Amino acid sequence: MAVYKRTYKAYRGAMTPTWSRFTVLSRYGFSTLFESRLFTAYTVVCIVPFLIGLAFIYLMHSSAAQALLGVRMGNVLEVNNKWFLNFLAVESWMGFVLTAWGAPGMISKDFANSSIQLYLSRPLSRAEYLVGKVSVLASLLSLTTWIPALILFGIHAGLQGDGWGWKNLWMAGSIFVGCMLWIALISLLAMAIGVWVRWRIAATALLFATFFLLPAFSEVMNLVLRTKWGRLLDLPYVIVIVWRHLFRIEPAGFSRTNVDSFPLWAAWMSVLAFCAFSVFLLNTRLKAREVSRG
Amino acid sequence: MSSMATARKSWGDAPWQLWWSQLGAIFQIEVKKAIWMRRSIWIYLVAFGPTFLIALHAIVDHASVGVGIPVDTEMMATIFQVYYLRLGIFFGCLGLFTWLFRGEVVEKSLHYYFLSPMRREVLVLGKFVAGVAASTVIFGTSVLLSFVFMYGHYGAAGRDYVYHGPGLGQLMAYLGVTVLACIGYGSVFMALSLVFKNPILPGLFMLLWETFHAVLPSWLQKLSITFYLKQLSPVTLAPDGIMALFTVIAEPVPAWLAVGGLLCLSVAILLLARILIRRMEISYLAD
Repeated sequence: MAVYKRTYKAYRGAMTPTWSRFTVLSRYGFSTLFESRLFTAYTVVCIVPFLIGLAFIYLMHSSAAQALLGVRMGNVLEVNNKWFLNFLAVESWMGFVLTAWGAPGMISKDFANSSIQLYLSRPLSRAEYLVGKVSVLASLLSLTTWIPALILFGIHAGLQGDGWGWKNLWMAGSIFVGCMLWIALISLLAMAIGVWVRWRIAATALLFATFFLLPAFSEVMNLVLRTKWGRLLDLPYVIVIVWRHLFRIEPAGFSRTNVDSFPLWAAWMSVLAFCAFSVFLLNTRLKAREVSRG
Repeated sequence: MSSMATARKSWGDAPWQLWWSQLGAIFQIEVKKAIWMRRSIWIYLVAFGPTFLIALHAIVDHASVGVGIPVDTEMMATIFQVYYLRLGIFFGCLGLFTWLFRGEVVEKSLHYYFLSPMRREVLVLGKFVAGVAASTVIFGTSVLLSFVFMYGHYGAAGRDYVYHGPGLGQLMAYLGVTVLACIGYGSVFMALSLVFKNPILPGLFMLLWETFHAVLPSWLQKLSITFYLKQLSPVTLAPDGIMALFTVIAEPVPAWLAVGGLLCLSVAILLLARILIRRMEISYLAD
């Protein structure tokens, strides 16, 4: 067909259903992330703690395997709420690196290249755009945190028998809620930073600074002003307080300093405030128009 | 003509005056960029956050004049070693020195430098010196102000501690260590930004190395920048918390060796950067 005959025609093909339009972004997000071999390799490494946990549970319940390996596992090492909390702590930090690696690039490129307008000019709302991007992270983090933890919980409950699973069913709920809170926090924070800091490297650095530099600043605040409220800025600390409450672990002997009385409500408030602030930042910046000052 | 004589002749014939003026021009441009740009605001927040808190402390704890100098001395040492050395200057230099080259790639402006009739070594040196100057000014000022606020509110007792006690020596040591930290971290981050497209992940590895170097065997501790900087810090802090259980006490090195070692390390990294910049080809696609 000659070029001059290619006049504009509206698209008449099949439309993607409204409810699943965000999955288009997710699909492309996944494919972009896994183009990097290093990222793929690191994602595989994130499964290693699960395999170690699996081997541990198997070894604990198999006297034949213990005899074969020449190890005796007494009652000292027990799969309980502390064990699952430690497992989640390791997986969560590995997931944090995964987020810091992948998240800023997913969103900051759209803003740096002014392509956000191209997305939002399609029948795709701002919320759907965000859900599309966050769902990539949420899926990856779920695959490395609560899903393996629940699989381990199920396997241990099956091998242990004696109604262990039913008695400790609350722990499954704690695993799910604790992980979803962590996933929401780091995903929203990563997205908000990615939207505001358009350079991918700077966005990654800022995410690391939030989790390493802010706790140090909070320590300085506690030290200089002789208070404990600086901890509100210490995200790893407050999330651990919330998790310990969810996993019904007593706070004694847990604090890094002598301040052992940091209230639970303040920890919850801090986590929720960070999430709300991230949503506010996203809402402010995620718009289909841009004012350029030259 | 012997090779020695050839080298001497080429050294003498080199256009030093031109290189010097080019170095000065790059220095001016880069210092202006590093200090006055809007994106540098976060570095000011990192640097002056503790200063602001110490100023508040000076106002709030004004009543405890004369009784808390030893306490505040330890507080200052903790803030300097735990916040500034381990994290504040680390992240500040990460931002400043990474931006020197990768920032030019992001802004698609590196080719202007590369197209100008200038040796790339001069460019590397000019940018590095500008980065050191900017980071030293920012973090040096914040440490100086923190020190002034920490002892200033004690009035005569504070002045006596500074001018007739160990205070002035401590201040000089804090400022000297700050300069060395900027040189050490800066050289590493500039080299990393020339090797890696995303220098943050190797930077994270370095952060972990610098944080947990105290639990490593003593010969490995000597491969970290913080090890030398801690030796030069005027007030020694005892290991605290869970890390104290695993800390390996390494044999201290003399001050001249610590300073010399750090400067030699930085020169070696700059020589590596010289090789890297000569091989560098610009690609604006990936960033």
